[in-house]
Amino acid sequence: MPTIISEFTHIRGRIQGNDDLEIDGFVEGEIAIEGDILVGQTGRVGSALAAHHIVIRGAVRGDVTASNSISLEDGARVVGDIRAPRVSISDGALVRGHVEAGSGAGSGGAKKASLPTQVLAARSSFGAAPAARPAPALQTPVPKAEAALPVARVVGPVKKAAPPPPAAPAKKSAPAPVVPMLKKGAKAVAKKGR
Amino acid sequence: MASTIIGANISIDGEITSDDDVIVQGTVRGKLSAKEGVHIEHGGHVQADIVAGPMSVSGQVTGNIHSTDRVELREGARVIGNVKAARITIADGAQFKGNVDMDV
Repeated sequence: MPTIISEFTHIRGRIQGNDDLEIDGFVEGEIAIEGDILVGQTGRVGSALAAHHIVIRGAVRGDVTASNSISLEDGARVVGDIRAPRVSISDGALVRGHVEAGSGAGSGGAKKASLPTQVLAARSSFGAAPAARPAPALQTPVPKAEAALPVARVVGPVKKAAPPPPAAPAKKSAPAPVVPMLKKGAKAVAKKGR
Repeated sequence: MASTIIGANISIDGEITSDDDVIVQGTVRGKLSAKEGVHIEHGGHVQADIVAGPMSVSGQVTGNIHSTDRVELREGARVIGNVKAARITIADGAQFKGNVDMDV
């Protein structure tokens, strides 16, 4: 029987061994398996994953390394580097991180071997990349708004009303991609835990 | 509800918290708490304090067991630690060293 971490299970710690692993719950801790890993739609992993073959449909924050192949399917959210001889990213998967595909990758070698096919497959992740960039921008508007506010206080209420709105939509639009989804899930887990 | 299964060739070092059943066939070190049942099957090895609902043990446990329901130590079980539970059964062939607290 394969190992299954069910939806309402939370593991904080290291998982190792040689067996197949299905994660539908939440794992915070390094996972090193000589087998296959499936991160299901409800599965969330808060650290690095290493296995022979990895399929991700849930959320992962950490580096993903496979000695054979990694496939990110619809619904996958990955923040971290991806490294394997074969990498596939389907439409609907979100990635933020470095991707290394081809022989030599996955064994931990730091050779760059980005295949053009992989880049094509990563079309959906390109869509995510511009959306991901505002994340640093998220931090830039904040100091601007802070800088604007004292000025506004000196000048009067007319200008005070003007600068904050651009800052507020910027905050709303920026967190679109992966990180907030993890945060949302984390809240749900906290609620379930009560 | 789907249960969490720790397979025979898997070891987990850390803390496991679950609202489902947990079935241990492999190795767990640290802490194990479940709202539902915990079943340590033959070959399962737990070095952890366990807090759970109904429990059955056929494998090895080193650590204290606290169950809100019943604890069954089955044949082949090897338990070293204190057991606190509403009901306890110890089958013939089970090894057990520790205190029993049944809220008398």
